[in-house]
Amino acid sequence: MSLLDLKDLKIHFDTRRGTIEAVRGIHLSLERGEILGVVGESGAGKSTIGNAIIGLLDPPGRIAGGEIWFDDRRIDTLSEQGMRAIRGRRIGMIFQDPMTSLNPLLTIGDQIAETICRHSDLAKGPAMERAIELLGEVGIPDPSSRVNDYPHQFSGGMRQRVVITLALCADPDLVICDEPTTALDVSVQAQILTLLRRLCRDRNVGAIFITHDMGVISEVTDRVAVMYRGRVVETGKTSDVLTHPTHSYSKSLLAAVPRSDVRLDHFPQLDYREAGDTRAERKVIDLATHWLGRRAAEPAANDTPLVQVDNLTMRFALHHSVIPSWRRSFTAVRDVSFEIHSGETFGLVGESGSGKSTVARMIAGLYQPSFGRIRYDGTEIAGPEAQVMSASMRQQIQMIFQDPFSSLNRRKRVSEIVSEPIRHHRLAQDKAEADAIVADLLEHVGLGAQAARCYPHEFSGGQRQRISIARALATRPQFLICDEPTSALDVSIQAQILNLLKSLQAELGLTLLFISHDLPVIRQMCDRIGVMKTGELVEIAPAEHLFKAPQHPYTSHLLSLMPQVAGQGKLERVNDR
Amino acid sequence: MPETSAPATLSRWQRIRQSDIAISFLASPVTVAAAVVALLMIIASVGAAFIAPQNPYDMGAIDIFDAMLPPAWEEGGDARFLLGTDAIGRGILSTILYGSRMSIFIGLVSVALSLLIGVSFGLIAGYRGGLIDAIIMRTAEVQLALPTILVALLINGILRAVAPPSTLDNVAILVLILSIGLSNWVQFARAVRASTMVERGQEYVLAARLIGIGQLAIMFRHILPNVLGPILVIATLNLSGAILTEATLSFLGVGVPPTRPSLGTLINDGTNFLFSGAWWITIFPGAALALLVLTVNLVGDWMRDVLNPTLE
Repeated sequence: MSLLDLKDLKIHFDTRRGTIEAVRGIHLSLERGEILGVVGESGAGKSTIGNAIIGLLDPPGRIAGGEIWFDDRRIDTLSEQGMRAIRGRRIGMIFQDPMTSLNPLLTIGDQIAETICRHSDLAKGPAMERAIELLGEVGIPDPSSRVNDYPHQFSGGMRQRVVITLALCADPDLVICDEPTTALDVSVQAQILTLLRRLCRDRNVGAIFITHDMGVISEVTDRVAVMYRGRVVETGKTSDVLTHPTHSYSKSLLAAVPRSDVRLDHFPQLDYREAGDTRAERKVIDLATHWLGRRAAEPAANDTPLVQVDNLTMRFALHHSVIPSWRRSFTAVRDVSFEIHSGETFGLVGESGSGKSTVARMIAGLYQPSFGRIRYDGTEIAGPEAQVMSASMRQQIQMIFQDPFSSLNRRKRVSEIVSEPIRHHRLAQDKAEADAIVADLLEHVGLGAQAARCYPHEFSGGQRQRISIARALATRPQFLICDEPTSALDVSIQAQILNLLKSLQAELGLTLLFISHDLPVIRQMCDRIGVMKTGELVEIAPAEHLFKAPQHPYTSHLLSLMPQVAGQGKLERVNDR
Repeated sequence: MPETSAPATLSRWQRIRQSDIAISFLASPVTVAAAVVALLMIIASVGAAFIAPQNPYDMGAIDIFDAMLPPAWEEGGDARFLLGTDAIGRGILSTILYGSRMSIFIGLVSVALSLLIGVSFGLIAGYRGGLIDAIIMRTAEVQLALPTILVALLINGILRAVAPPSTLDNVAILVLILSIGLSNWVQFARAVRASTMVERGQEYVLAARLIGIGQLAIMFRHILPNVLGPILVIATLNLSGAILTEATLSFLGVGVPPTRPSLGTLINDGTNFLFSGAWWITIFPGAALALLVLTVNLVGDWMRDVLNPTLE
């Protein structure tokens, strides 16, 4: 008998608008010491399974059918009382966000010792000693003094280590990790994954890894289950599934993962669709005659770079004061200089807090730099001699934001959102022309003209990002800043959006500044790349140079941490056939 | 993953019927009842001229011999005056209808005034921040330290001293509106400022700035619609507060003149006769006031639960 067995598990959510079948009859089993990956896109039902195993399904969710067997006991029928005896002691859980899974008002020592006391006969003193021992084991330096610290005194990665300690301190037989590294930077992610893998091996603990990230699956898991719309479409040994996926959905999912080893012209589109899944085809517009092709001003065709950034520094005031020596500030960007040439894609890569977005916002004119200057097409737009940006200049630079849920005004219809730049700059003769342009733009980004009448909440994340792109294009810009445009999206949708950006760039001759923390994405998108670390630009190089022969130690460090999806090369051959 | 298909569009009525708000409204019988009663009272008072049996302002129609009649079902009652008459022969039912019209009018206008001031200041303070924010919010705190009634007495005193005696009746209404409106804006300003500070960092605001849209247009056209939820709640709860304050002030004699009574004035009139046995003169206007305030509050409480669980 295996450690965990899910037999034909069905989970339903009853809502006013009918029953949502989140999990539609899945079979999974897990042995002791084995790490099983559950991978799928958002809404596939993977977190629901994790919550169901540990008995934490949020109402109105309920187990509508099937059985959960844990260590030869059926646990889906247990009372809350019985479940509490298992939860924590036999099954540990690690959640995504280390910021919210610890109590901010208790020291971490108290939190761990409390859990140990709850699940064993140890008294407070020995429990604290055990906590110190465990913290040392997960790699927290100087654990005997750090047990007295509060969660806010730890960084994100260190907090996740504490969360892992909490999950493991009662010596459980099974650990469920729900996106354990999604909120962390790559360098921290690699450490946490190695740690989790080692702990599971050493303690002979079974683990379920729920994630959307193929790289994580590839690095950690022994077996993998691919989920799509509440069903497991494929299970098998991780190396087999990654190299020879049998189901067409697994194939499309793997194809969409950005390659870190070679640059491809476009992402292979192996869209897997079930019946009833319709989508609008993207309409290509003849730019010679269309409004979109008639720009206010073409950039001067000479050797001056389109965007020139010199010694840019940005300080944010942390503490205001009349007395200068009392003022405190934080330097987010320090002495950054680079150029972007017309028609190219320049990438900025770095971990969170490295100042990438701040640079983008300064170029866009949303922040005023503390020092340094920015020139656009030869004109200074920020700096000591900067003029107020003219309306025509304003139209040239547009931006696509990270969060598809906050970048659209939820009280306005899509038609109003996309037509606003046109109306503001009076780019159309009358309302009829503006409406026609909006319809064309929406078709151009692959949404369909009928989307204009809807409100943003009626669309998915990827569709909203398309609306954002349509809005950015509505001023007929030359320079588009993309600030992590796909980091909130599923991998297959990411591929679609990146392909769209590539096509638009080719058709409209756009210059892109592309910002991402995701090295494979950057590699697929960019001609030249700048690497940022804590506010400084440490290296600029053409993309292929940077990946083949990184100059700065930090760049090679970042590259070494990039999760590799095993057998991507093989997969390509499969696709080529 | 129906990624690029546009969702089916619903008609406006279907949208409203299927919205969470409509369903939560219909699921709460107390709220539905309160809303119906409040709406009926408002309609009845607005249409007082058509509904009321007598016109209490028409001196020619008032007969002093009808004075102090008890309600119709009591001994000595008169069928013409369902709820009895007051000391000068006006029917209580009619005076209540006309009186609540005055109360609701003053309540609505003063809430509108606080809304206008509070929302504008809140938007500016929240969006601009820094010195402007400090000035506005410190002013608000000073304002909070002064009780409404004191402010009303102050404004009343000044205006009565300045205005010519012949205009005093109109001045009295203006005093009420100004004093209630000016003392309640702080709540609106605080709520709007807090939500504006959140909204101004949202990416849709940044996108609007990138298009080149001006600050005022961003504040009023982009941010305002997104912060209206809590404002509606405060406005509703404030309406009942404003009606009560008006009644209090009128009861104290600072409010509307007896010739154009509000509910507060009517209650004040009646207290003189309470111990002479004519209880109906004060009880019925009092009950009307209580019912109006209670129902508006119930609707406001429900709105608070639905629209903004974080408020208060």
